Amino acid sequence: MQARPNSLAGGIRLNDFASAFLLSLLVATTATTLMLPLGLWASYRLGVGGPFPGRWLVEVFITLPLVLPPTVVGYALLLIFGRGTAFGRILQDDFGIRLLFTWPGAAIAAGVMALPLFVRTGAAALASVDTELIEVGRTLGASEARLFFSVLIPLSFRGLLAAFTLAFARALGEFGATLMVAGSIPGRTQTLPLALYAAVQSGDDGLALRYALTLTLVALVLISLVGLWSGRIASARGER
Amino acid sequence: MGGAGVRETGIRVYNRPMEEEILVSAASSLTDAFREIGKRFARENGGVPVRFNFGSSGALARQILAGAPADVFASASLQEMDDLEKAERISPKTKQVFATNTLALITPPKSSLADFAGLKAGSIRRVALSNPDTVPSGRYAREALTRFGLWDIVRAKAVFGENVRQTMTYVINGDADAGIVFATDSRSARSKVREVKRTQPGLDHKVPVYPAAVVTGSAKPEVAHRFVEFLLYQEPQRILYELGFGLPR
Repeated sequence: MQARPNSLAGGIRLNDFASAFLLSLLVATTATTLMLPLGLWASYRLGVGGPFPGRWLVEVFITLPLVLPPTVVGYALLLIFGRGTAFGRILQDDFGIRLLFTWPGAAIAAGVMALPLFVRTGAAALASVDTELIEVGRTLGASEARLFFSVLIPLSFRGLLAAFTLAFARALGEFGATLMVAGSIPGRTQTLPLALYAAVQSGDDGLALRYALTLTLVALVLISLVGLWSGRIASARGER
Repeated sequence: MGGAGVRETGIRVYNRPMEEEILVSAASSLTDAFREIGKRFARENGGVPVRFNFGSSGALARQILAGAPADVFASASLQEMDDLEKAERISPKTKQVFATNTLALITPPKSSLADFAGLKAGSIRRVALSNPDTVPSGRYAREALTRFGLWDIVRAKAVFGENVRQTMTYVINGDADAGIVFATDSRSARSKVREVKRTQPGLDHKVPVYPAAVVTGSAKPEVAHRFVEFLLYQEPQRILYELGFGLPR
């Protein structure tokens, strides 16, 4: 049997670059999937829900990670999930859930940081749906849930897709909160941005450059997709 | 690789390494030596992959204190190991000293610095040191500079690296006019830096001693223990010696 220092993909031998890349995709995908239900709910309440008690509180809490230094978010998650709090101890001792220094922990950190980007774009996309259509649905007796899934989501799908892509990009690039919650353990929690930092720290410029170019390339692709999708919304609205 | 392959990887990232490989959290100064030793260990142990998490001993110890899933901890100082022992995060029975080191004063290739006292000169504007609070090489450097009566002057010019490799990178890139790193790090970069002088361990500062131990709660304590013991075998000791480390006895 052969030594496999980087056995991320089991039988396939992976170098540090490939394992950081795949881990990043895994973390970002999990992060955006995790935040999606909360993100959709918040987008709905803030975009078309109208005024409700405590609206500003939801708005503030959802937007907070966008404004706070990521290290504050990371530290908060560290306190919540670490052994220092009763919640963290219960999570670990009674449920056996360890989140610190694991990739699911990294995904939660990235998800929290990605949430505001999704909600801001998502709420705008839902708000752009013609309110008359919603009213018509309502007079025809459709439930709020039915309206949401059969009218709102299909009509704002491209906008929501743009929101999802932005959130994915944010999750992919997350550094500070992820570092604090998940450490930077090669092959386990070291995502591309963390691997880039580690490469710079150890003076490996060739590797650092490859990481940086990869992240830039992925960001360019994602932004182009966002532009394509939100552009079509704009032109569709303009034709009306 | 197709989409299915990626999804499969996703499952394995979580499960497989836990079952198959061991994670060794090791001081950055051990980077070259442990990569080499890890390969030998894998070869002699039926292909058990060894994954490394290199960083400052202080940062790694804090990670392990917080529950990081490491199997082995190898520190550049007894202090961090003692902290983990007090917190019952390592198994004291498995603790083993496997190498020693000393410090070196280094500069970029074109420099005329002659000794530690030269750090006082105005031409030396920035001195790269490791952060003495979390990095053993920085702690030993502070101890030596204090003994030489230079600490206050050098501290005012210091740029602090978060691990010894980062400290060395500052000097290699010429961002610092001088730096203090482990002699083994200086040796590994001897084509890029000029070594001015070495300290005398035991006289100028405590002897930098490298202990390793199995982390409490390791999922693979037997393999982890085998790795710790392996460090004292002839072949790993030869590798350490060739890279400039002192041997424990």
